[in-house]
Amino acid sequence: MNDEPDPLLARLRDLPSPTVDAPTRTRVLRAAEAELTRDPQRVAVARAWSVWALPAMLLASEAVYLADFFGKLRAIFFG
Amino acid sequence: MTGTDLELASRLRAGETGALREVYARYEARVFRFLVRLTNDRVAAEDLFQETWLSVARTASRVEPTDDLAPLLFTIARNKFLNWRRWAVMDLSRIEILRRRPEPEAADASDAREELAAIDAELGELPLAAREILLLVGVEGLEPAQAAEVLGIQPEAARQRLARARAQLAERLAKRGRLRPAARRTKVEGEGR
Repeated sequence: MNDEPDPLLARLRDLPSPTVDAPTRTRVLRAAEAELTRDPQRVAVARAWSVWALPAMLLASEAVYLADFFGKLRAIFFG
Repeated sequence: MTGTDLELASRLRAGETGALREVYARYEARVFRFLVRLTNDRVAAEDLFQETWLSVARTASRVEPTDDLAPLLFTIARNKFLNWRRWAVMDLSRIEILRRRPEPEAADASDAREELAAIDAELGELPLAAREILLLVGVEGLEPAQAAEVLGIQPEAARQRLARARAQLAERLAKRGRLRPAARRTKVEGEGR
């Protein structure tokens, strides 16, 4: 392939460029800076909580269900 | 203080807010432009723009040393877009946005502006795979190999995809009678910006 620029691709660079307005630019930068400086330990705890909260709830409800199930079996056969 | 992308990447990795500010100043316009053209929706693009930079900050400690941060930033932005698009399909209120195309500019006395408006409109009509490679290589000036990295495909596949996308765009423009003779050639190598 030769090294001449492709004229159609070159025209794409002349397309009007949408720009971020100043309030959005500032808001996003502030939010990103805050995210970067967040306490890593707190972030780790929050992440662990979000990962394990649902499985822990499911396990707890399963345990209650099984305890109830075996309680009823015991009542039927040994009650 | 301004540095090369390699320096910025290592300072970002160390959690320097100054580095984040510099990366932001250097790339915010390109990332936003990429998202607006991907979504065809400015409001959605603003949301994704914020999510992209939050994600950059969140993953800063894992940034690999690189002499060009553009592929990383476009990869994050594209992933945010793909995620948004997946949910948009399930959200009736957003389906209209996915169908929406950029408004073609009003006819202008200048031929060049009319041609640009036609290119803009036809680019927005292209299938996503074609649009994103043209945006990355054509608009953002990435090398096809860098675009391949963003898209998660092999460089050769990116080159082929670029050739097809270019041909699709040229064909659509020719149908409109909006392709200048000089732009009919089929060379597809992208050149860096």
